[in-house]
Amino acid sequence: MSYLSILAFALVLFAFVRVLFFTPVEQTMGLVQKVFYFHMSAAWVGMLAFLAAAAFGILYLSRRDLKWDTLTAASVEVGLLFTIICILSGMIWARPIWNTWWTWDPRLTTVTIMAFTYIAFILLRRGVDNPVRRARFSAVYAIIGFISVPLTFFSARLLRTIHPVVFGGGETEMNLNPQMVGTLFISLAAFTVLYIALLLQRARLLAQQEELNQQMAALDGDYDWGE
Amino acid sequence: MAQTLNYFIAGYALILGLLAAYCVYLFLKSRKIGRALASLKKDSVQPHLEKVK
Repeated sequence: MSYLSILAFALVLFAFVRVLFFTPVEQTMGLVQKVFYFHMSAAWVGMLAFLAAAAFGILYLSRRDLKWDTLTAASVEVGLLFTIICILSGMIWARPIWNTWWTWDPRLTTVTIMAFTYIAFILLRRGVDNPVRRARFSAVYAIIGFISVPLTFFSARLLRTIHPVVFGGGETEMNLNPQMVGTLFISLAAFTVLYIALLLQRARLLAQQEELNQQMAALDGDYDWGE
Repeated sequence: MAQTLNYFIAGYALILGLLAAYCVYLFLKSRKIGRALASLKKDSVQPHLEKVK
């Protein structure tokens, strides 16, 4: 386990303890509002991961180095994990507050489109055997797929929605006291470090898997080691 | 104030559970690849050792 992984674990634990014991309970929604700190952090990291994947895609296309492709794939996978966490925790938060698990609100719709865009990325990528073709396809897909991210981000700001906006939302902006804002920023920092730790770990595994596949192909092309 | 303790517990159980599950998945995958690479390395060294004998 790397130092970064230990730091990420410690930060997430610290953020969780702060959420539990050092952040006031919101008066209207009650305890479920506390899901918000990790829910929003997961949303932020998901979007950051897809932005990073697009940036890695651009780097691959300009430098033709497969390490950027590995980082693209790793970033999409980790970003998708956080996006799914965001969607599912949002559903749990919505149930007592909106009285429904799900509604086709613009923010919820666009985040679902974003998630499916990157699920398709992972499925389609598995269908390409040639590493260079796969890298080129992944880079282009990650860049074009990124369109879904600003669409999701601005949907709650530009369209009529019941989804709250944390900063710069005008009438729909959430009212957070300084303690709540502090907890939110600590959670955001913890999830960002966790994202970097998971990204590096996943990228290392993908590179090892590729090395293994190449060695197996050199010995005997019939082996199937998954992925 | 709304009584939403159950949803709070469910929310954090889901978030932390999914993160833990992904970490376990990475650990198991790392172990599997490590073993496969070690096995390959052993297989490629074995013929050379037999030649030396």
